[in-house]
Amino acid sequence: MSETPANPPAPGAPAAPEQDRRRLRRITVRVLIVQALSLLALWLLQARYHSAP
Amino acid sequence: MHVVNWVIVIAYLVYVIYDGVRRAKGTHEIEGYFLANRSLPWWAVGLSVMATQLSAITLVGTTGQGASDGMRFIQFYFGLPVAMLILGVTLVPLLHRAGVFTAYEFLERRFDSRTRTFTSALFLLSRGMSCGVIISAPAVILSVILGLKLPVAVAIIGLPTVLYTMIGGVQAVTWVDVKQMVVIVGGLVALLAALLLGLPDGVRVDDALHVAGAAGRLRTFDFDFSLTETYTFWSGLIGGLFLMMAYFGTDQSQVQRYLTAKSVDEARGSLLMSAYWKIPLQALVLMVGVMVFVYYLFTQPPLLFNAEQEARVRENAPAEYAALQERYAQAFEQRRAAAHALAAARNAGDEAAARRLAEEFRAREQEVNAVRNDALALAARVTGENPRDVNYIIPAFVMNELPIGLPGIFIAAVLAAAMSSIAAELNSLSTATIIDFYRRFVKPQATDSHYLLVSKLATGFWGLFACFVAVFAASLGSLIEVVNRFGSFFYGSILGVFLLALYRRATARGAFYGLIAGMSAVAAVTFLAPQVSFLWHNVIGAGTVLIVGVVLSWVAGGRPATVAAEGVAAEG
Repeated sequence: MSETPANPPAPGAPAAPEQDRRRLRRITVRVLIVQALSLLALWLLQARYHSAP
Repeated sequence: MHVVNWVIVIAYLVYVIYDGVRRAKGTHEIEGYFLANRSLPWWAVGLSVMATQLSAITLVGTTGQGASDGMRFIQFYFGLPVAMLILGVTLVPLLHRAGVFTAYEFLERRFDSRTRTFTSALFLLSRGMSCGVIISAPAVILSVILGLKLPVAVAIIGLPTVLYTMIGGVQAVTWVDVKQMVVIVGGLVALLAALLLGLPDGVRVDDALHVAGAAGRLRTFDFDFSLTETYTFWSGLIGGLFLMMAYFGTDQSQVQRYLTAKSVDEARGSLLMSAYWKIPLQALVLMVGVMVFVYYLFTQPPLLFNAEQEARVRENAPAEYAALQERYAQAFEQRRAAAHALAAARNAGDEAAARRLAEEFRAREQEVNAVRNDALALAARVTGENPRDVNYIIPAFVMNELPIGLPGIFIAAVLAAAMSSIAAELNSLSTATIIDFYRRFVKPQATDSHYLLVSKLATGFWGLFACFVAVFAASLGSLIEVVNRFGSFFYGSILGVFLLALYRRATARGAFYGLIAGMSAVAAVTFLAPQVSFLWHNVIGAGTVLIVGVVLSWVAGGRPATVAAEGVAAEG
């Protein structure tokens, strides 16, 4: 069965609200994961090497 | 400077001008000149957003801060990813779908014309002056390390930027920014590689990081909750969140970047690039500084990095300076021996000796710092100026210690960082001047070609104004400080107005008086509690505008939102 929808949206048309919300949720999770990983890397750097009082 | 380095710098400048000017093709109306007909891909806009934010001050001053103070400055950016997320959901779709040229134009549609005029005028005043500072800071440093007169250094930075921005418009700004980001990141990576390869025999990267850690340079997190300390986890996360939202969401120099994107999704994607990459990039900038600190543990650095000030101190206080240099050489030798011993103990796996030697190393480091502080105090006394020596650490290292070619690449990277920020600011200053003032108050019914011509002239005017401010920045010092302080009064408050626009029942009266109240609150905090860090000013400003704006909208009422504005508000 083809995965192409019967009536694809016109190019440049705004995405459906539900689709938009799903995409925003995905982006939010991705940004938060990347930020958590960045902070974790910095934390590990400090934990391994920082020894000043 | 060696001729090869000059060839690299000149080749960079020629290419930038050529690449920018050729973008003028096809720019025949102001929609193309200011917004590239909303046709640019997210990745180019994203790189332009990052290049605009990363100025030469970041490249020279922040690396220097890494060398003298370590990694903790990175906490300043902890709020940025979340700010980008919030903007991607709220203001980015609002501004992009509204089809506006300036962020302030949106405020007229949502509220009234005086709010637009007021916020745009504040932007012109503060950005016009800050553009001069953005040229002045690297120009002063380049004039010292290259032995140029200040107006020549200002011209090298300012004139090519004015030329390609004036002729090529936003297309030139964006596409040149893309190449400039490559030069900046390439320069930083080359610098870090040279530093790692240049570690002395017997000192591995792991040892170098341990020695840096023993000196406190790898402390990244400070969880103290303090309103007076700028670089803590909480001030970065909360204060930084509001600052980044104000900068990326309401400052025309950034808003205009993503208004050129093809669609709302592409505009959002361009900001998310910063959300993903800003903290790693800033870590790279600071790590270059930390490794320069390590380099100077094994090679004696100058007592004062600013060569011009050092010459004046040597001339005016020769005996005092010679005594300091003798103390410095002794303290440095003892610290070098302690650093080597620490690295050797670590290599031998002797943990108890490594702990004892780390204490010894820290004591020697304090002695070196004490001599440096005495030298800085002497320089301040002799010259009557703030030494700002931290800004000369990296340029002095690059010019004196690196092999031929790398200084040329570094100077090209500093020029790229300066020019990318200046170009975006000139482009946005011109847009606000023409769209928010000239087209409304001077000549409302002119042809598009007339507006295009005056837009180019406005870009040229702001460029020359910025160069003028840059040349006279030293004598205008207190004025610039006043303008910067004035700028901090309204940055968070303008963010408050934009956030208020998301609230459907907010009225024009609530927005305008809320803005005045927010600015007044920040001014009061600045004068009555000057110890409060500036990062919290944005929180105070935005919070006051929201509270006063919402209360006034309820109590006093006012002009209801227009049909168009209601549509806009509903989208949020």
